[in-house]
Formats: sequence, C-alpha cells, structure tokens
Amino acid sequence: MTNSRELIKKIISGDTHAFKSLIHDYQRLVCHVIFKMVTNEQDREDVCQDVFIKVYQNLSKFQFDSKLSTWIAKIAFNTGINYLKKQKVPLFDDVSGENGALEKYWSEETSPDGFTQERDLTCRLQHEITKLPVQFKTILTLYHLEEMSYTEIAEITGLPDGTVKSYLFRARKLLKEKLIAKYQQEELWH
Amino acid sequence: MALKHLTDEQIQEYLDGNVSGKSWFAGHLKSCGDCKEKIDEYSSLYSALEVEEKIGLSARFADVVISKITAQASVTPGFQIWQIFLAVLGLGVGLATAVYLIGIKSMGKLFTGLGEFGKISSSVLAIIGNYFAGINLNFGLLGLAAFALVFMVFLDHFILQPKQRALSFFR
Repeated sequence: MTNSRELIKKIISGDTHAFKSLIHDYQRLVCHVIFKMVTNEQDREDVCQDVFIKVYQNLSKFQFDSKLSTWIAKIAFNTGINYLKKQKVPLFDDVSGENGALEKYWSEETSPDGFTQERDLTCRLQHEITKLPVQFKTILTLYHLEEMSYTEIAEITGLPDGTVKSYLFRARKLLKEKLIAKYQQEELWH
Repeated sequence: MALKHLTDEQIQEYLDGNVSGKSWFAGHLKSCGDCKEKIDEYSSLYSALEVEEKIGLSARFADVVISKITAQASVTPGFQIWQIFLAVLGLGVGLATAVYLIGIKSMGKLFTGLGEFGKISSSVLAIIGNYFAGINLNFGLLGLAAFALVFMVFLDHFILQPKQRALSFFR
C-alpha cells in the first residue's frame, strides 16, 4: 500500500517512468478483464489503452478505500461494459439468480461450436468460457487467475457478494457438465 | 441407510478450501466412488481454469498510452457555461476595479474616440463605477482583492494545473 501511495504521488507529479511502471504492474490484470470481454483482437489493445488513460485521469481521486488492483480492475470492467454496450452486445442481467436463466442464455448463444477438433481440455474450456455471459467470464477470471476474494470481485462488478459466489458456482457446474457431455458424445462417435 | 452424496456446491466449497469438516469429506471420498469421480472432474476443471491465457499487447503499449494522454492534454478544452460565467464576472470585477481606482472621468475619455460604442461603454462603466463608489473604500477593495484571488486559484486548480501536469509527460 505504501508503495502504491508513493507510485501514485510520483505519477500525479508528472513522473512518466512511474506511470510506465504502473502500466507494467497492472497490464496483466487489465488484459485478463478486457480480453475476456472484447473478442475483437484489434479492439482489445485500444480498450486496454482507454483503461490506462482513465486510470491516469482519475488517479488523483483514488482515496485508498480499496486495493489499487481492485480499483483498476473496476475501471477495466466498466470500460469493457461500455464497449460492449456500444457494440450492442446483449448483457446478461440475471442478478436475481433465477434457476435455469444461465442455461437458457447459453443455449441461445449462437457462437460456432468448432472445438470438437480440439482434444485438449484447456482449449475446449476456453472455447466454452467464451460462450458464457460477460459477468460469469469476469468472475471466473478474477477468482481463478487473479485469486481475488468474493468481496473484491463484488466491488469490481457491482454485484452483491452472494451473487458473485452463486454465479461462480453455477458457471463451474455448467462448464463441467458441458465438457463431460462433449467427451461422452465423442466417445459414442468413435 | 442410503449413502448421501456430496452436492456440486459442497464439492466446490471443498476445493475452494472453504469447508471446516475436511476429515469427514476425506473419509466420505474414500468410501464413495461417485463422489470421488465428481471431485476428480472438478479438480481437472479447476486446473484448466488456472491456465494462463496468452496475453499479447504490443511492446510499445505504455508509450502509446502516454502519447495519447499527452495528445489529449494539448487539445484546448471546451469551456463549460459556469466557467464562462465566472470569466465574465471576473472581467466585470476587473473593469469595475479599474473604474474605481482610475476614476470614471479618466476612463470615459478613453472611450470618446470610439463613437457610439464608446458612449455606451462609458455609460455602462459609469453605472458600475457609481455602484462601487458607494462601497466603503477598505471593505470594497478587500472584497475585490479576495474575489480576484479566489478566481486566480480557481483558474490555476481546474484549468492550468491539470494541463500542466499532463504536459509534464513531455519530459
């Protein structure tokens, strides 16, 4: 936290190297959030750039109420959501936790199902994850890759803690069932 | 007695490390093949979820971000209505101060060479001058000085400083 304070102080006073250091430290986190939301490869880098521009512009308003990483991830998530809204990508808004809503969304998702050629579990999983609603993808990424807590993820996504946990459990259950179904289907074919 | 299997939620809680009775789980898994299989499936999923996706940003990413910030800062910002209002107010106060200090007659002479516009301006200045002439000398000057100071601080804080800070990226 002390290091973050010093870093921010230097950036606000106009130290370019300090800002470069911040970008270096947090670009992995920003990429994890943005890459799961933005599928267009050309737009990904532009959106990541927008995130860091917003971070710079709002740095003087950061009050250390949360970790710097949580604050940056929140900016990244909101920037990604705004991008998706501009692209008119439908967002999943089942915060009520209605049973079957996620499964229904998934079945309506029309992404081409081209992974049957891939036998590697990780590749198959990544393909299945792309079909999940954006909130689910973000929660899975922040929990498993960034090792964030439910509370931190809730702060980033603006969802209640309980909803974060529920989404995480439902997404993992659905992914497991999808993958098992695919493997069983293939075994029947071979 | 029928064997009670673990639910998906219980298994995920167990793998997340959020279960208090771990020994009970371990004992159950030894005797229940179905639950053991389910745990193995979830374990494989967890491992796959923790595999890092390849992140490909350009080598000049940070430089591009900084150049974009610098470019945005060098563009003259548009002014808000309240900023224009304060600027006009500040100009009015400045003129009134000048009228008060120099004297309305001396100021009026400056405008006589400007024809009709000069006469109107002279009248406006006379009204402003008369208003300020009614104020106690020390109190009026103090008020004007305070306003001018606040106005300058405002300009510095909201317009000049952010621009200067952004331009410092040129260094």
